[in-house]
Amino acid sequence: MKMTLTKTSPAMKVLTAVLILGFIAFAHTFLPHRWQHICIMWAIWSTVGMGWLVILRVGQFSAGQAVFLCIGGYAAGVLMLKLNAPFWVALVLSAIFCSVVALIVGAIILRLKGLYFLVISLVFSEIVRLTIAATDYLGASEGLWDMPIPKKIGPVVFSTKQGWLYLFVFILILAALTFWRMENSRTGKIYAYIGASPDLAQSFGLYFMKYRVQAYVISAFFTGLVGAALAVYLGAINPEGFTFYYSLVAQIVAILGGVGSIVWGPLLGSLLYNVFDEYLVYIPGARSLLMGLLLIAVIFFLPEGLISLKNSFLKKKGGNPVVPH
Amino acid sequence: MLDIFIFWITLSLNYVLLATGLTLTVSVMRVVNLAHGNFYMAGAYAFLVFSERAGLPYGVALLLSILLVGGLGMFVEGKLYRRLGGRIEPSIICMSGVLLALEGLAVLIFGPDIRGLRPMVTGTVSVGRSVISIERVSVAIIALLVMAALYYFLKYSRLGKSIRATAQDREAASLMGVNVNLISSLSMGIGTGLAVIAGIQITAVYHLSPFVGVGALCTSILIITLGGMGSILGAFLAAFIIGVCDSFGASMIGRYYHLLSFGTVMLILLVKPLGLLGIPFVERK
Amino acid sequence: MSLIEITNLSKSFGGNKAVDGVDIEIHSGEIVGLVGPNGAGKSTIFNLITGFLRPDNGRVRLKGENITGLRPDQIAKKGIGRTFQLTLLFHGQTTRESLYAGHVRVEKTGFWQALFDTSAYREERKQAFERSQEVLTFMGLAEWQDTLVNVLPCGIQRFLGIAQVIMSPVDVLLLDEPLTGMNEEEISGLLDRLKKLQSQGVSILIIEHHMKAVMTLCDRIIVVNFGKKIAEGTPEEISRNPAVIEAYLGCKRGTAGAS
Repeated sequence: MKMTLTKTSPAMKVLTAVLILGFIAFAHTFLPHRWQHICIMWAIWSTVGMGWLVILRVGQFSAGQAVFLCIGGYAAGVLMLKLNAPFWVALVLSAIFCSVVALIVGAIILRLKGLYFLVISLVFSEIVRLTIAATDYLGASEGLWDMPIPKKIGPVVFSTKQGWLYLFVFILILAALTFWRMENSRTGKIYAYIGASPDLAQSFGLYFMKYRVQAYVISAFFTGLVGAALAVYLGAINPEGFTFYYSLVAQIVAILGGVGSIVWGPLLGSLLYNVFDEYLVYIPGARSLLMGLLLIAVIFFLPEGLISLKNSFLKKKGGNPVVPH
Repeated sequence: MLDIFIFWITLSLNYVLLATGLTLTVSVMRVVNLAHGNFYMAGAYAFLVFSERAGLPYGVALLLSILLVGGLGMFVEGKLYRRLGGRIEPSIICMSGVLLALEGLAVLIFGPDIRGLRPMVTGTVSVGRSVISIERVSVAIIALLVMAALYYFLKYSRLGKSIRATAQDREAASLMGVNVNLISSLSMGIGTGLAVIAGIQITAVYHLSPFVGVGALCTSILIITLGGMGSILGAFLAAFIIGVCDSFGASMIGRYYHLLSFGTVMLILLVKPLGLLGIPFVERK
Repeated sequence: MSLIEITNLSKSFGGNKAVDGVDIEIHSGEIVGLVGPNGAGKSTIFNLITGFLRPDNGRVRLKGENITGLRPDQIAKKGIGRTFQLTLLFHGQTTRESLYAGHVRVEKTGFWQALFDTSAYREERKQAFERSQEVLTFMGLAEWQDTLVNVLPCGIQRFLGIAQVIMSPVDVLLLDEPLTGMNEEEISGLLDRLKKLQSQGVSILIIEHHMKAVMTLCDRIIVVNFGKKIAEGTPEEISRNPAVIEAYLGCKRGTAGAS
């Protein structure tokens, strides 16, 4: 077996894995806590952004994506705090529960035309949040806290950020591989057909609801997974953590990076957003104001996102895949 | 029982203002104005500044707030939204940005706390066993007067007819000589103005904080989805239905009342996917 | 044995009867023309057959099986292919890439196999590629295979629309004004190919205004006006039919029909 370093050779995969593990070990050992937190947040929002983007691919604009973070987080909270489930069980079950909710709700609302789906997804997110805030079993407006810390796995502990870095990066890689593979296979093409013209796609035997629900469920799975892990990482959650602002962040991250690229877009956008967020002098209200102005600026001056800067630098012509509109 | 009934009427009439405002802006912008709820909030805060900080009389403060925030809405429509050429996703992002910026600004200037607004009149009146608050009645009356004025304006005035024509078919209206850009700005101004009035009225009865915008947005969305996007009559009917959920529902179910309105809308959407009086919504390509 | 049997098909919009009690029969290996003035209801009939609209009355049967009211994708899977009056395209793709859309309906591997890139999946994609080669050659699109679809000339786009549909086996091909935007050479090229498809067993129902083409191509012609069938027969019979001449002349003299 030759040790060639082509894009997909086995040697390349090993090298990539080593690099990633090395990066995480480095991050934990050398980076200050603040930066480790930024890395974790970066991984989280990259995953959520990708999930949002895959729904966009299939032609729907989800304005309430935070609802899956919320459901995942609270499911984990209930499983661990009230039902004493072990962390890993809670993690997976929460993601599955989130997917089931997406399946049921999606089967109804994905049928709606673009603008209706948009607003209903927004309202759905708020309704879930308000319902949780009204329910004492779920901690009402104070939320759930004192999440148990997962036990260590070998040398990796969760009492510091170390285990969390590994976990969130691992989830990110899983999501990235899945979404990347979906985008570049026939599935991605089908999503593009349906996003571009559901009627034409139907005339080719493609039932647009099947694929919309499929994309929605997968998106919900990863977002719920991240939400569950996030809840335990933070140690506590409350309804204020899942407001419309956070649904917007999912969009910001993907749009800042560039919606043309399902993996690199959110990775870049999430990086910029999280660095920006962390270093913003924390005056109440400033974050929303500046984020709002940033959104407007991006839409006007850089509508294709950061990825399009790469093209300007390399003076390429139309290399990127065109966004299905 | 009578007091809940009055609460229902008051709430619904103000919902009508809010939802009609959104319908007007929707028919102009062809996209749901996500910042609508926050214009509602901004109007209430503007009123706070004019009436309490500057000490102006109620009517003057009301008028100034309408002009200020309505003008802001027109600015956003003309300078921002119009430049985006009707494309849906950029417009949504842009309006979300405006939403966020307004909320952030409100928190910066006024702080995140909940406060109350001075209503126009205060006091209560006893009718039988019920105690009715006059402020709620006055709020309902104001809303009713505004809606009546709006109705006559849209139906009989030349400007009003131009607005309706543009909302129905923009290209045809422009071919008939209507200055569609002016009408768009005007519709946006009126729609936002309605939100401001509703804001000043409802927050006197409820409370005000920088975060009420999203709730108002959700309510307006539920109403126009239920009534059918683009239909003012539909918004009127739907506002009363949602009003039932929020008033009677609130007193009966307590903290879960919003599930009632959401559930109702979902149920009706299953049967009538375009809303009660829905007009197929033409999206600009 | 009739392949497609349409009985008493009706559809109203508001108070307007767009299609009124239409009966159509298409036999295996036939080319049938559907003609009539603008606004006669022809495209509506297509939408009713292919599931894009639900009829108020009447039935559509395919090989004896009732397919009325099925979803468009279900009907497509049963072997009825259609093109649209306005070419709908998937922007940003090359000609070859957009052909794959038409092949998906015979691919049996699903989401998971695509995700894990199984050998069965790769085999199907290879078949799609090979089939796209065949179709590109057959439809004369080989020179355009790597061109982006939005820059294709109008006539070529129409060829592509049909090419997409025949990527998977079809029993019936419904063509909605395919000759629009084509020059003489393209028209005769397409008619040749349609005849070849017929010899391969495909039945064709074609809406067209280009009367010369219709007369040469079709075995049978059905004429509709104001949603009703007013005549049916061979091209010779139709050209001599007084009711048909009246319908067309009446239309030419008066205002152009609404569509």
